This record gives sequence, C-alpha cells and structure tokens, in this order.
Amino acid sequence: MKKLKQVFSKIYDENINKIYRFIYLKVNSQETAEDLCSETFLKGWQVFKSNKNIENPQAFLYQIARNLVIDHYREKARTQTVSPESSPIADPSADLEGAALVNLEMDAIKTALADLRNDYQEVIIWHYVNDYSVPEIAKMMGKSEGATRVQLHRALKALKDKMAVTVQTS
Amino acid sequence: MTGKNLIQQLQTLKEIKPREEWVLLTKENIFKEEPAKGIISIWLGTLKELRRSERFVFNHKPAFAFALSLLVAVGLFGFAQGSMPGDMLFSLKKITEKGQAALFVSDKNKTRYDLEMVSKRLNDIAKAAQADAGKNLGPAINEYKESASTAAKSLAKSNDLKEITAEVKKIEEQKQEIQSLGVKIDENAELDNALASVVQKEIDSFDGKQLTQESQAALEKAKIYFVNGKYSDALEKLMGMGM
Repeated sequence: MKKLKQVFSKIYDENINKIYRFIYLKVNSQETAEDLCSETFLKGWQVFKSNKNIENPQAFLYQIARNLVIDHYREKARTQTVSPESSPIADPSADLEGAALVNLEMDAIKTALADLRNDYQEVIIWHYVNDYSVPEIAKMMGKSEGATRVQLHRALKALKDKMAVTVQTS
Repeated sequence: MTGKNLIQQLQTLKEIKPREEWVLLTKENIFKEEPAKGIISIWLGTLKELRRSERFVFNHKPAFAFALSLLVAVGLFGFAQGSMPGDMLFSLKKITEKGQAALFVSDKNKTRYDLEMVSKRLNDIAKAAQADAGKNLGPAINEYKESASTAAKSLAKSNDLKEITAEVKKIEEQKQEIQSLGVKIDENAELDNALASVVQKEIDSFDGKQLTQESQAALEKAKIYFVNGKYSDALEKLMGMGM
C-alpha cells in the first residue's frame, strides 16, 4: 500500500497542474475546476489502488476528467443554458502572478478556445498548453499519429478563425 | 493573426495554475486513510442497520405478516409430515395428503393412490408397535381402517389390475409383518370384499374363452388363491394371463 501511495503521489505531482489547467479551460471557473480536479484524482486513486495494471495513468486521469466535465455540463444544462459567450471568464487567481493573466488577449483566446469543438479544445490544450508531444496525444486519444497531426492542424485553424471573429467583434 | 502569434498566446495559458495550498490539501485528502473502526463504531453501525431494517419491516407490515404466516404454515406442514396418528400435527398431515390427492392425482390413478395410503397407514402401525409404549397404536389402527374403507370404495370402481396388483401385494406383506410384531388388526371386510369382487370379476371374464393349456393352469391356480383369500397372488396369476 505504501509503495502504491508513493507511485500515485508521483503521478499526482506530475499531473495536477496539467489536469487542473485542462479542466479549468473547459469549465472557466476556479471553484468548479478545483472540485472536478480533486474528484478526478480521488477516483483515479480508488481505481489505482485496486487495479495496479493501469497502462497509461496520464490518459486514464484525462479520461476521468473528461467524463466529469461532461457530467458537470449535463448537470448544469438541467438548470441553465451555458454558452461560452454568456458565461463569465473567472479570475483564476487573485495573486499577482494570476493577475497577469487577466487581460483582454487572454480572455479572447480563452473564449475562442471554449467555443471550439471538444476534441479540438483537447488536442490544443494538450499540445500547446500542456506540452504533450503528438505521439503522446495520439496514445491518449487512441488514434494514429497522422490522424492526430491532422486533427491538431484543423483545430488550430478553427481557433484562428474564431479569434479573427472575436477580434472583429471586439 | 499569424499561427506563431496564436501559439504564443496559447502558451500564455500555461500560467493557469491551481492554488498551492489547494494542491497540498487535495493530495492529503486523497491519501487520508479511512478511520479504523472501533467496537463502538461497529456497534453504532449495527444499531443503525437494525433501525433501518425495523423501519423497512414496519413500512411493509402487511407483506411481512403474510410472509411470516406463510413461513409458519409451510414450517408446520413440513414438520407435520413426520407425525404419527394420535399426534397433534397428524391432522395437518392428513390435510396435506388430501390436498395432494385432490390436486395431483387423476381419476385413473385414484385407486392406486388410495391403496398407497393404506400402505402408509400400515407403516404407521408398524412404527407405533415398535415405539415405546405404543401410544400411537390405537389411533394408527383407526386411521388404517379409515383409509382401507376409502380404498375399498375406489377399488369397486376400478378395472385396472396392473395399477393395483403391486400395491395389494405390498399391503399383504405389511400385514404379515405387523402380525409378526404381535399386533392384531381386525380385517377390514370392506377392503377384502372389494378385492374379492375385483378378482372374481377378472376370473369370470375368462369364462367361455378358449385358453391355452398354460393359461388354463394359471386360471385354475388363481381360483385356488381366490378361494383361500390370497387375492394378491390370484391377481398376479391373472395379470400373467392377460399379458
């Protein structure tokens, strides 16, 4: 058990920032991101300690996070309609470091990103924000490297188009 | 906006980080062990379960009352199957037997079933004779007489020799066994008369028929058995001829 804890602790340290960022960019709320992120790791730990043969813990955690985000929006849809334009972009932190993020450009790219298709969002966050290589992303998505490259290219183009619209309207 | 600019902007999103204290607290919570259960907590848990069960039972009172009655009835009827004539539960055993006869025994098999009951009652007599003080003996003999009377009525309507021969043979053997135990049962004239009538009818059916030498010999033998009151032997001979 102690050994398992050590292994999962390492996985936690290596991935907490990336998973948090991944969730945050999808839900646009610090509070929700924290809740969903802690739930992701808690569920991950429950499965990990009972089944040690998880081949790719990183992909496994992202899968849990994705499902939780989907559940979150499903739940939210029952009470209100959510659209990236109408939902306010939350201030991720109140400290000085975080304050640097709060600027118009940042808001624009977050809004544009949130407006993309789910799979485009994910591939962009993984590659450009969380620094995963194309083979790593391909493995996480269960696709070939070629297909992943094509998807990344299309996702970036779609984001560029969204940004162009955002800049024009602002 | 160029692709390069876009990627630069995207990379600024790396600045998004969770709060440090939250990261530490979450990690601590994930690995927090479940508190070990002490005796008190186990006891409280059991009490809680009991209360929940009690509430469940209370909320489904009619269903539980019905299920309980059914359980008691099934238990009683099951227990009664081992009872002897003269025991309190014997009447339940009889109800079960009558129920079975009404539900599962066809008219065709009725005679055989009634003879089986006679055999059972003879078995009870044998058991009662062997048991201490034989307190069940009297009631067992009465039950035998009653069952023999019922079987006699069925026999009067029966034409199926094949169905009854084996049972009649068994009954005669049981009677001999009981006599060897020193118990005297008054012969049930009703059953004997019915059996005699069945055998007589069967013997008469061969009158005027052309028989082989072998069959004729068997018929003569059957007649002798019949005159001596050995009805099962007579029936066996007649059965052999019919085959």
